[in-house]
Amino acid sequence: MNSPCKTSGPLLEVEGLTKHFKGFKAVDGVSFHANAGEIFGLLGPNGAGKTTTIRLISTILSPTDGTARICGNDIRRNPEGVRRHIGMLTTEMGVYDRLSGREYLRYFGSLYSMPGDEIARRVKEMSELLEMGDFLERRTNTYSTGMKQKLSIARSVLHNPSIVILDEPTSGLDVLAAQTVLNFMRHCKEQGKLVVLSTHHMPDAERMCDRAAIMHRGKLIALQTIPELKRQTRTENLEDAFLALIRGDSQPQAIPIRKTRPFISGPKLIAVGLALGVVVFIQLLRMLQE
Amino acid sequence: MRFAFAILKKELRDTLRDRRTLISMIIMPVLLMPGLILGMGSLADMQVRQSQEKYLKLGIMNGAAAPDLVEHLAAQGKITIIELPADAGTSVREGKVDMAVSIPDDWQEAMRSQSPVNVTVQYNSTKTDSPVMAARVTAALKSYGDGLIEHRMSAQGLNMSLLATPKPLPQDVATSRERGGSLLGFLLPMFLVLWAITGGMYTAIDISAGEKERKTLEPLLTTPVRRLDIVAGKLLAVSVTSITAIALALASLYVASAKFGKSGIFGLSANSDAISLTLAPEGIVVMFAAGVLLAVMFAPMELGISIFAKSYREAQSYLTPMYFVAFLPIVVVNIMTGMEPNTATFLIPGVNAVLLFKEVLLGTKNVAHILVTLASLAVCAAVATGISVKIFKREGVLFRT
Repeated sequence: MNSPCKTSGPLLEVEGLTKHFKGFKAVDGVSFHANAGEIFGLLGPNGAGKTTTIRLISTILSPTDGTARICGNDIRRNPEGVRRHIGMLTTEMGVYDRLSGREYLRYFGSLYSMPGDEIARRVKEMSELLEMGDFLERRTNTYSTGMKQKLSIARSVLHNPSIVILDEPTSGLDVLAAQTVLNFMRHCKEQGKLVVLSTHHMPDAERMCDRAAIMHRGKLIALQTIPELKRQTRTENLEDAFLALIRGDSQPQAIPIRKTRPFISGPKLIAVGLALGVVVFIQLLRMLQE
Repeated sequence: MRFAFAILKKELRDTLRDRRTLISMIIMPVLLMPGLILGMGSLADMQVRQSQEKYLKLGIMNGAAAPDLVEHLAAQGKITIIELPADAGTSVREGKVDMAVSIPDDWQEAMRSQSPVNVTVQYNSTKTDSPVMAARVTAALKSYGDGLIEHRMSAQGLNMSLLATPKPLPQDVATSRERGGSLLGFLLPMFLVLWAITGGMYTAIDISAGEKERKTLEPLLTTPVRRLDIVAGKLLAVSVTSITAIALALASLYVASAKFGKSGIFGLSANSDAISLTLAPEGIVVMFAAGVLLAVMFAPMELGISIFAKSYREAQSYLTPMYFVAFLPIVVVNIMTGMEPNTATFLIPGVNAVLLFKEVLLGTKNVAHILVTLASLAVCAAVATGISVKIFKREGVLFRT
């Protein structure tokens, strides 16, 4: 089971985080700190680099430059330690169709090295909290979207992480299911966890976030409390503040750093390999016959 | 490794609940091996018997020139004589008659002067039963010729024993087991390699491209489990399903050969004296060992290729060439009839397994061949595993958009 986070500083420290993909900078020198008991918003339009930032923090991707520390664990040096303290949730995330909800949770519990009785206790807790009792034993292919979302929520915090990262957690959900997610975020905050909420849905962000970082074209262009953001942009709500900030960000389009595409693509490689294999094989047979 | 086993356990449970894998892993191998043996044998048997028992429609052109020859042919039994006006070739090609015999106009003249004469026999070689029918007509013509010789010699007061010259008497020294082995020596190895590929193929696609498509890969990657353990668990799962398919195929092959192999159901058993196929338990062990290594070699290839794909369907189209790669050597080896495999041939992965399976079916025990094959497959499996682990660690592959 996970040792609780013992660091005295911020739970999440991001420093100069940079990620280059083929031809462009998805994340460009992003730095910020976030603390326990806070709901931290990571806001930006589609393609701003929010998801990439989150994937870097959760060590699914590795950074081109810069680093981040989660509970004192460096994402470059100790990725396994980092992942131990993180719970991830997106609406994009699926569940295994042919497993029951309980089997699904038990599987993830074992991947977090949780002992069996601990898993059972946590599953019971989550099942009560999220009202999953009546469908936990059924296979997930019979679940509604809301049920799947609840199961994913339970999976993300089963190991009691210090940081919960949510990427567009309410997109595509109905009001009821979205409410479950928002309540879950409040619950995490009450428990003293750090909640990182990445979204382009401004009303949710305005309601939930203590502070927000605005990302645009891979860069961090603002980091403030919500009232402060509104005050600085002289706007009434976060959505207007957000728009004002994005428009004000007059930087030119992200400049491609490398335009060349790899000459050899997957299918091409397979075709060439096949042809070569056939030729080599026939030659070999000839040689062996002689 | 603890995590690898946790992943293996989950993937196997998942795969056992999937109808597609059940078909390719259990049902097909179990049913097809005995089906193949029984089917192949009785099919060949049936075909031969059919063309032997079939009434032969024999066209005769210019029959009036040689009435005694026509009479002789008609007396052969199971022959219907049809008088053809002209153009025997077209009649055969159009299927009006099975074969046609054209008697030349100078037949009577040639008989009288005892000079050589040609009788044209026309047949269509694209018809599967044409060799058997041609043999029947040729035999009938020969027996007519023999009668003619006997008649002429006795007219001259000569004895038939004058013609007693050395006669070739072919004798097949292959044991009936060897004949059985060589008959199925092409098909059985091919299917064993096929199970090594298809047995785990659906599992491989499902737990790589399938996970991507259903968006279940990312939650897995956010757990503290190292990528190496994830690949190991998935590789084990694919290997286990392939090995299960091979084990079931071998078991059903063993049972089938024990039950039907000796009773002469194989091949042309009804006519020749029993072509049989019996498998010794140690032969099964050797085949299983090679099968396991084949499975362990194909598993990382399948997993490494399908993780490139974004969807199940895409992975399927990427994997199709694998059949081609695996079967090309088998076909080539079987086409090159003159090729006598030496020990070096057993270094080629895939081909070596086919040759080894064939040897085992023929009852040959060549320890060098067994060892070289196993070593070669093991090395290839290790290399394939290494490459597949590398592929899995590349984030560009896991998050291809």
